[in-house]
Amino acid sequence: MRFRSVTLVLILCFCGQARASAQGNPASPYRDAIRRLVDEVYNQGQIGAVDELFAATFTRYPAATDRDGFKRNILALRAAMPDLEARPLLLIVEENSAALHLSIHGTFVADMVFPDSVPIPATNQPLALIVSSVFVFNEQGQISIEWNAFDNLSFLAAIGLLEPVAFWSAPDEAFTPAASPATAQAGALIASYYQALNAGDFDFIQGWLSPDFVGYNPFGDFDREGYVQDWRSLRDALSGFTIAIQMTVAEGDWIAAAYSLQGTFDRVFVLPDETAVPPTGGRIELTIVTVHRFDEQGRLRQIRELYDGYSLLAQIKLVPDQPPVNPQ
Amino acid sequence: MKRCILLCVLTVAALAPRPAGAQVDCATHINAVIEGLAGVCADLGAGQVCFAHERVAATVEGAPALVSFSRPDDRAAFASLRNMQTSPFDAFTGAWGVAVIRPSAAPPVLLLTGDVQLDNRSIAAGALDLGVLTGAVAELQCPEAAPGFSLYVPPGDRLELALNEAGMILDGALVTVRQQTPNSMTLAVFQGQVSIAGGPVAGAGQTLVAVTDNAGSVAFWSAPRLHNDQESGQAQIVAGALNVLLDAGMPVSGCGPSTVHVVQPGEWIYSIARRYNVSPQAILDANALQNPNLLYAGQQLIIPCAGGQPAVGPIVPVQQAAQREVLICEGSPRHRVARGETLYGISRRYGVPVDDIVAANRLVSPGLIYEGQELIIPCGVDSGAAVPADTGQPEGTPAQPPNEDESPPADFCQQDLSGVPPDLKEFVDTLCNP
Repeated sequence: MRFRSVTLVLILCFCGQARASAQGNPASPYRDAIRRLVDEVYNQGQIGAVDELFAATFTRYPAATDRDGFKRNILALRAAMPDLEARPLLLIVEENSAALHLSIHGTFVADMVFPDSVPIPATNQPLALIVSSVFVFNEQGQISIEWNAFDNLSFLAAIGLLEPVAFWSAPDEAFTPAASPATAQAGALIASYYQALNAGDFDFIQGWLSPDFVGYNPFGDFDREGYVQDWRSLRDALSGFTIAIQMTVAEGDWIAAAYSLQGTFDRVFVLPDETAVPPTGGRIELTIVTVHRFDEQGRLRQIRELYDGYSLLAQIKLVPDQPPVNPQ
Repeated sequence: MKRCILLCVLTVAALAPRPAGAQVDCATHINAVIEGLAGVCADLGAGQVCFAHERVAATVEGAPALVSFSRPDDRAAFASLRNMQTSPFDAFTGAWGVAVIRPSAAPPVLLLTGDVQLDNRSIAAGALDLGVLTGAVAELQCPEAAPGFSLYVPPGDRLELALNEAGMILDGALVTVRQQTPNSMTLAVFQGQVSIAGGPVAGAGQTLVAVTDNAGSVAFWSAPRLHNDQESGQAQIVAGALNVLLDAGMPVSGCGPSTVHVVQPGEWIYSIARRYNVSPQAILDANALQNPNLLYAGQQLIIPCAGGQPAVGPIVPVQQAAQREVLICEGSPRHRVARGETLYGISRRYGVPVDDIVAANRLVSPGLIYEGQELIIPCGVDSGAAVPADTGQPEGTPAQPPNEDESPPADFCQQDLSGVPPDLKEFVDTLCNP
């Protein structure tokens, strides 16, 4: 059964202003840097390239991972999946920032190890992972900040450590940003979208989704009505929280946004099967990286919002607090 | 400056022609090789490496005309070894490179088995540097013959060594090191204890996983996990092979750590022997030297200890004792985890230790249970006794009341709970008034 409604209603508090989007330059050095990251670091395991591509002060949020920690994560992934192949599904660049929606495939043939943690036993089965990131480059052209999202729920289910309740189900389709007359207004479009969510104006939201809209998150895929209902039900369960957009990146008909959520789970959360999840009174915190595709009228055609579904379930007390490991 | 006189490159014999369709059964072949170890490499001297089974390739520094290392039972001085490769298991030809190394007069014994390369090893003062282990990681024809090596240090002895630039100490340990992927290797402990410098400690029945960089250097180690099925099977093979070697007369204990002597200008074999109070022949044997006049300044010589003591008794992997074996009966209850339940609470409900539930359900992390998960409640610990009869208990029914001996002590139940959150008070009440 699709576990549809455990999705967050985002109430917006703009802490940063979305920049005016512009058609990116295909020859951007930042684009080249991200391609090197995928080809040399992920696919070839050239860990030394990390020192060239990342600033010494690099920080990956939300876990505040430093450059050496990032290297350890790459080493761990490649050790467990020697045939690892990473493929950008979307790479967009704007000014000194970039967004990457990355598909990772490999065969999980060796224990997956992270420092000081108990290894996860290999399944000897193919394993697919999805990672979304937004990067900021410094004046030297090195990556200085990354906002990253990864779904532990799908990962743990895929390797058999959790009974699967839902999966990230977006197709492994690669996109090339297409020129769009709406690009220049992308920042304003996204601002309007989140402001409407913030205000709970779901009629406006639904009218802004194209008829063929599809949305993806760690709990499955949604049509226009399902997507809106999903947000509405969760928003009813949460109050007093704040969403802070950290940054946006726009190019062609795509815009990516990284944002964090804080709130309080103080009302009953009703699942689609009418199961009531009692409020805990606890704080909810999530980091979400979403890529949005819009049409020529500026309506949203597709949303891929990636966050740690396990973390969300843990915060509403449906699973233990800590997963055994977080590959990202 | 280290003088490198590369004198001899040995082996790499041509592969034998493959008999059409003659595939060797894994277990049969492995057992044959192990049994054959008694006929070769017997009474291996301290500081020697022995060609045990086809095929082994080695690069040796020393006197090329005086050393042969291309056939079973050929021997060379470990001090002169620069690198060694053992061929992978081949199910068609039966080839499976095996080499035995007794690096010093001190106890350690290395058994290299198939598709392993050791490079750049050197003996430093007090420490054994095994260099960098690499091994092919292609699909295994025979999992029991996975690339790797085994290392044995008898109980009571201790060995400090470096492998892939990671320091470690082995206390009476029997371990296997296996290449898992190009960037990871496992270290399985069957006896004793292994302490990683600045890292985890693993005991019998536990395995550490190391992640390495592209140069082969260890980047970090995992926390210990229990052996998997393959490692449990390997324990028997390794123990069997080492027992064959010991039975064949290899002394592995008793004369303390050996000494490495660096030859100085003007020194000769008799002066060195007098200095250490050993016979010249013992030094020649330990270093596989046939010409006592062929010493050179800077050469490293292993100085064996005089005499020796009987070999230790049979090696018995204790993996089974460390990895909890539990019994699953036909009537073993199935418990569906409810929201908020903990393993501790479930263990008390059924009167079964947490460790037994973890083992029965192969839980990776005791904290990782979730609502709706079905847990098998074991009916006992496997001590070799007969399997208990069906208890007839329906699913989800406690097999027995909680063990009274496990009740909290009186002072725990009588403590002042003022100011304690209500849910914690309720928890304490549950424990004290079941």
